[in-house]
Amino acid sequence: MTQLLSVQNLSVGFGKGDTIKPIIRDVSFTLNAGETLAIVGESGSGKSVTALSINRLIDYGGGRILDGHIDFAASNGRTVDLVTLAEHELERVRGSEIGMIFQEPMTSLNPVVTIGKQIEEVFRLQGKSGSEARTETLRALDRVRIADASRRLGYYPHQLSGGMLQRVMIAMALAASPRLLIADEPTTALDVSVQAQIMALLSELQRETGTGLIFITHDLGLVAGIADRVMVMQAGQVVEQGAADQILDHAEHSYTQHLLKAVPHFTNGNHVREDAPRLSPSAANACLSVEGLTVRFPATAGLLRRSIGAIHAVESVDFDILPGETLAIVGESGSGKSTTARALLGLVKPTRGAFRADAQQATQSQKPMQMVFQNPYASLNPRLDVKSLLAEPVLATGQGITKDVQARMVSLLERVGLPSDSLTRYPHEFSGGQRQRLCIARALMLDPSILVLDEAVSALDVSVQARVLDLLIDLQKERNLAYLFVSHDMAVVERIAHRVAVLYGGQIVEIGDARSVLSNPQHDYTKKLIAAVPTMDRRREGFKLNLEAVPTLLRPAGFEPQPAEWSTLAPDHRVRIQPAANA
Amino acid sequence: MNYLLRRLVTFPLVMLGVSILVFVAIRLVPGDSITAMLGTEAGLLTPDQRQALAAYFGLDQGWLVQYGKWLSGVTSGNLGLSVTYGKPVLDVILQRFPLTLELAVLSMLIAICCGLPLGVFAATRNGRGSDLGVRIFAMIGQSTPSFVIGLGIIYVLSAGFGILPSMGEYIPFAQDPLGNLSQLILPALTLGLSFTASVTRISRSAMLDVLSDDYVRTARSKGVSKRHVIWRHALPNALIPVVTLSGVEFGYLLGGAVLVEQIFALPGLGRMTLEAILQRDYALVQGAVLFVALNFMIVNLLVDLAYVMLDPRIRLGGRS
Repeated sequence: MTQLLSVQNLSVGFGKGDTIKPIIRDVSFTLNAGETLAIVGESGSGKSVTALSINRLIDYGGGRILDGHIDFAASNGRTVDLVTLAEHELERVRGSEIGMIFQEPMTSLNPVVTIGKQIEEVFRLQGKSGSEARTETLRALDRVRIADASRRLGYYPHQLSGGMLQRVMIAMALAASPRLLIADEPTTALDVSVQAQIMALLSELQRETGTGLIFITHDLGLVAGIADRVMVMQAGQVVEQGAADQILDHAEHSYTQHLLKAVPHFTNGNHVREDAPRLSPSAANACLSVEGLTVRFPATAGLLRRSIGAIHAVESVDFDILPGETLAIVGESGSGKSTTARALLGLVKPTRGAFRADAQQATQSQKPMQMVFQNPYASLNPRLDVKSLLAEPVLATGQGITKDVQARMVSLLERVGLPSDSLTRYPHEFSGGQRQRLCIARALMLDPSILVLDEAVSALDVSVQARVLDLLIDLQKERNLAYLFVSHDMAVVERIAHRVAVLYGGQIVEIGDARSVLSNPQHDYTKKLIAAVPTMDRRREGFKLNLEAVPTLLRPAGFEPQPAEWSTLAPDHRVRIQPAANA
Repeated sequence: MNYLLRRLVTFPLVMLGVSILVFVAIRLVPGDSITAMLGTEAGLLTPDQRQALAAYFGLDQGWLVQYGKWLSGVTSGNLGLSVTYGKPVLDVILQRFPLTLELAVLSMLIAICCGLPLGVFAATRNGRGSDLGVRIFAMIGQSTPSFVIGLGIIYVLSAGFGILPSMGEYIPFAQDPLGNLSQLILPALTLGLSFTASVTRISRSAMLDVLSDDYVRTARSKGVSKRHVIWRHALPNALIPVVTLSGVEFGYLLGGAVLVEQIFALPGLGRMTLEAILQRDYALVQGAVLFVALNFMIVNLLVDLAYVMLDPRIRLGGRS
């Protein structure tokens, strides 16, 4: 195989003059044509900086290449050093020789230009004429399996879903048939099932075109699925690189081993928790029971905003949670999992249904249910110090900040693993993981019996994620807390859940004990969802494309769905009976 | 479109509110129009004569009756009679308006043509010397009062070159384009300078925001040239705040620029309104304020239309 890219001793720094701070040091690797290299690391490891340095986009982010060479075999047969190439020559390399896909498809496309025009631009930069460019654009959209391409050309980015937009990004990056494609966390912002689609598309297109692929990710499961070779980065340096199997099975560096061990890997229900309270003979009564919870949003259309029915976001959801038990709600975005959580906390008004939440006997807390949100950066008021943040829930119930309350603050901070001088500090002084610990401490201030955790670890780095999960499990055991754990990440769910409820189209389609549901899924949707989760065992599996559309939740006014019928598989495993295909 | 229709419906409501406010406000000011009209001679009037004059202008009736009469006149297109000019209010306003409109348009042209490129230029050279220069210029332009700029321009021209700007009666553009421009270019520059400064500042900061957006990085990764990244990808996304600011400033200018009109001795709406207030010319003040309010609302509507054209997310609503 011919060598496509050779990076030698690359160092990149940020800043000006004497204050340049090197961010990556001495990075070297090579890539052959048609090969896939995965760069793995946590945030701050320098993997994105490495990627952006290859096509020199780092220049625009305030970075500077301090040292090293990036030799790239261009299509005209010459080898150029991208480090010393002039800007106008780089413009010819970008796009036509090196394509790039970014993490956030929603923000990576120009919102005021139609997607057709944005793809067309690449062809025009190749010197193609108007009509030629348009034909090529259509073909490019067809190639990424966007149905009805000629109509979609006139769409603006906000009219398409994240998965669709990432396909548009791929179409754009591959438009000029580049010899190298750099994908920077291309599926991190997407659902598991959409992720599988995008991965399938990438590997298929790569097979067709023989493009070299640099795939940046923090997800080792994905690495197993796609990479030929793996490079592990930590704090700006390469700690280990080699063939994918070698790295995944026989990692030598301690950091790689740590990543492999710390990161939750999905194992089809083989590693679920064994301390399920439901199984013990002395099981207590449920502290949260939900019956027929239904949330519908009115839908309107047209000039006069006439009602065209309702979005059935959550439809007749029933479940209960015992003290000390975790129920995980899983499903893709739009399945109603967050709406369910929000309805329980009164953040959205349920259309129908009832729920009952009991305080713990010992505390008789006024607010038995508390919530921890997904984004620890956005859910703490930056103007309040930690003391005020922790005081807020107490003040909200009309109590004063007594000595007892202050003592509770200190002991909770200590319990969640924050330094004791934290009380007078502000949120920006803490890391993401520490902030999420703060959010947990805040949620515990009122001694709740139930914690609603809405994607509570999704925004955290993998190894931080593992530690926060451990904290949550310990707290649950100590305080006999019930968790409602909303997540799209099956690996995390497997690690913390006693029971799993699968939500699809606003309805529970399968619910039961975690081992049973994850290892023996019965509903078609659950099977699909679990099959889409990347695992360490499936190597270079060739993800398969699935073109099925997500069902709409829009129903005509007055529509009432059929009451669910269930079949029971095990003492605690129920599956909704699916209507026949033609019904 | 539905949104714009709803905006149109609010027009008469806003006008009604404005008219009530100005009707009451001008009458709360001490003094009356008969005294103001006749000056020192007002002292010579007998109570009967004063009474007769008040009856003639309809000032002897209660406020409610006066307002009702005026309002019914307005709805049939009659804004009343100006006491000072002895002419229908609408005629007086329409005679003054072309100058004010032209002045506003000229200064906005100057502001957009100079301010936008300057702001974009400064944003692309963020933190360098040229950026600092532009920012200092904008700061000075924004913080210097217009009468200082106007007087400065007059001083430099007359003391340095012996040229005096042509003042007096407004020369319409259609009649004598050169004469018209020589009359208006200096006041337009005076007004345009601070307008340019605000446009520069807002376009610089909007461009800075947009240039760090993800889609700009995407455009660069496609190999789009520097110039096209700035003008085709970034600028259209940065225009909304610029349009908003320009609309507001333009609306203000349509109400007349009293100081600049005074300095250059131009018969514009601003001076007319000021004089009408000093003269307690109730009908003219009410008419002028109503007219300015209408203009402002039309400008706002145009700004909204511009949003719709600039941003498909506004045009097409949310996800469809």
